[in-house]
Amino acid sequence: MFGVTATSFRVLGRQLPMRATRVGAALAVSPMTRASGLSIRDRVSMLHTSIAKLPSEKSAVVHENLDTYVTISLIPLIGVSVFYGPQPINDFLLGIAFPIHAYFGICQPIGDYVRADRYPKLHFLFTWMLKIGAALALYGCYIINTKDVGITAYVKRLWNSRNSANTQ
Amino acid sequence: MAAAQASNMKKFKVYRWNPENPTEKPRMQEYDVDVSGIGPMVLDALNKIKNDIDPTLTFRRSCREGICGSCAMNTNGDNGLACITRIPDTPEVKIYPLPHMYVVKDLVPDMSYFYKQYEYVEPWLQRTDKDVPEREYLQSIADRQKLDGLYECILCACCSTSCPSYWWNQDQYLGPSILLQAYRWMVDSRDQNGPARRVKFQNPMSVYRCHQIMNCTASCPKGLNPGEAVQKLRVLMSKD
Repeated sequence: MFGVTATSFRVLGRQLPMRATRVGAALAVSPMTRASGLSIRDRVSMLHTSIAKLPSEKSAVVHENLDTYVTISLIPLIGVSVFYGPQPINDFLLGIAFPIHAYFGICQPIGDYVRADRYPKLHFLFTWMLKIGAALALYGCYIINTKDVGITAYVKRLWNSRNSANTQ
Repeated sequence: MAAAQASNMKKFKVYRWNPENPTEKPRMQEYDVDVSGIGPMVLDALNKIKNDIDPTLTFRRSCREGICGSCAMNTNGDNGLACITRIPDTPEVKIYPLPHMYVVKDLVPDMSYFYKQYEYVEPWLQRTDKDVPEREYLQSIADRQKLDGLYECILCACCSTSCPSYWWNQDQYLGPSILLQAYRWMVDSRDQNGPARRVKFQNPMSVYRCHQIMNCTASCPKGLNPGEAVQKLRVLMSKD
């Protein structure tokens, strides 16, 4: 009994940010737990919510295509790094492609788990953490490439640091 | 003269929930079934339970040959059709309804939203030119072969309900089953409305929640490849 009441309060709390999509509100919580007064037919028909008709935004396809191109471009970049070692132009391009690839990669779980219409505040927080993080990563790669030894040499050093004399 | 069959008792743990008592939580009910005297499939065991032990056990079934898709359920963690899933060798068999679907009763999931998603992709031939041929719309053998592996889908929902992306975003992500059917119409040479069909999918959720997890292909009881179909659909979309 108490468990059912507690669930209902959590349900009401969850419904507030979900008014953006009626479908989201209806599907996120089983209506069955609140429907003990209704007939079986009424309870089943409560589940017949209408389908989400999302607006068509070409930007999603552009986003996806960019993700694909950046990912493909990483193959020759990493290949050159692995087989030819530190190369200035390659390191420079790697320093651009890798943070952008990471940005696109983290966009996906943000869209999966903290969708804008279900968790608007968390979505805003994580999206901006990602954008700032990616910008910092771009800047950091630029610094490593210009002021330090370059990305490939940097990774090589980290990889072999156990063997070098500097480590404790 | 056949010797009496040695009895082979297995424990079947089946998910039970009754909408007539909605505040009662779902539970697992154990049945001890002698599987030596019945057919080899999970549906045979379920029918034996319903006939001999517990007539209130509720599940969907129809063709008993793996073509209608009614008896889709989760056996020992794998989605499949009960009528063509062999009773596993384990001493205990766990039977659940399709994962992350609303349950109408016991093993019966509510498929209404799944069917709405199917309607949404407009699963019928669409032509843009108005002249109708005298007989059929002709199709070459090579074009017909492109539909192999797509038309055989029985809409059992085993694949969609095995997809974690579908679990978490069922309301907006269409799921492998529906996307396979959408692709089936786009790749049909007789259909002329491909680009207009794809406009509906141009958003971050309808198609692009697929992360190539490939649970769908692993669970298809008809041996189809929804994962591959979704990727081919993405290629078509990227070209628009």
